[in-house]
Amino acid sequence: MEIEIFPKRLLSASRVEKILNSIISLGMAKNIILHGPKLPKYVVVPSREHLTGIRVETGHEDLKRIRFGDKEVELTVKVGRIIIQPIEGIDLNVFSEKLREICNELLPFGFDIRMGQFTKTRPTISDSIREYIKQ
Amino acid sequence: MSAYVSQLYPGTSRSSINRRKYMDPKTKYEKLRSISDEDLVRVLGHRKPGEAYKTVHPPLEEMKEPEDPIRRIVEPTSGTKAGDRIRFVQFTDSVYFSPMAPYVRTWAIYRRYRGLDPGVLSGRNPIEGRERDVEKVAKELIETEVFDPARTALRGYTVHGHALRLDENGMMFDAIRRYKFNKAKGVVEYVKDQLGVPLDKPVEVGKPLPEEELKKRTVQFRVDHIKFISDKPLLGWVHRIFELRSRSGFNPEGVKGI
Repeated sequence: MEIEIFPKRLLSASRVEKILNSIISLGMAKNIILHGPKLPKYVVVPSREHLTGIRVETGHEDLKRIRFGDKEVELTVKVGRIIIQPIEGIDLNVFSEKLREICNELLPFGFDIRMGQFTKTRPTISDSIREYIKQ
Repeated sequence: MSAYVSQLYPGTSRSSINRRKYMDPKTKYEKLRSISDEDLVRVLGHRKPGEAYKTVHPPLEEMKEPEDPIRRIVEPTSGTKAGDRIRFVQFTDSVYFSPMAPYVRTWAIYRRYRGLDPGVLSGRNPIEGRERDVEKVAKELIETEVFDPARTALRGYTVHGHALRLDENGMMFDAIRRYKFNKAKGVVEYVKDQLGVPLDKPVEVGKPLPEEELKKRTVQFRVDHIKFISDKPLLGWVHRIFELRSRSGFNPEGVKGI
């Protein structure tokens, strides 16, 4: 069973950093997945000088390294959902209540918290095809 | 015999009234901001400010066109007279209470302007025409109430983001990051043109309207605002059209007098 935090706005990198640090400080999360639309670093745009266009940086402010706990990770998405896989044996109701307190403080524009299965539990046909291609 | 007066759009809800208002050629859109001609040209990205319009044919006056009754009746637009090339502007509207929506903008352009070809898809509105005609209509569409700096965007391609949640500043997501919210000034600035080419200096397009104001001006029907089914006259007309087209497709004689 997983817990999903679904804020009513897409989050900035600094807010994601604060939320992650708060979640990790609870000591109940095994894995955290950050989900959202991809932020490309470069884009090819038309150019009068170059027929095939030129590569420019998009300049997204949220494309940066964020630090939480003792880890640092390069954010590549505009975070829209945070999916948390809790450590086995944790009381999910207690965990989600603590998450609700964190979200009440850090997400003033509103949020929803759901419990359920949000990730695949076993490989599917497309995973098998990817493995085959890698070989 | 009186001339036919179009009813434009049915319904009595706020959104229906706004649709009629924006589609009516007699409506003068309320001007909310100013953008200079130079800044507009920079954001559209088809030529440099001050550069002459490129042409695809000589001016119509110099061309020996064959005698034609339609050519006598139809006055060419200024872009056509000059022989401008065809260029475009493309708008995207957020589903979160942006003032306009793609289909309504297309209907409005068909009724209000000549010589333009407005396309429509679920997430974008390309408007094609002669370059100077496109610039003229883009200026009106950006300076007036049918544009909101945060919820409406000028995007030539990679339009993804109209149906995503807004970000923390209330801005629509843009993968190419053509614009940003300047927190210090409280305005939206375009840092790239609609084609994604970076600008030398940002172009300000004004302050976003507060959400309460946008809810009064929007043409959108939403479950958390004005529901489509709550507008009974509108629903009645939609039902009538669907019923008549189904019945007449089966038996045209069966719908006489309905």
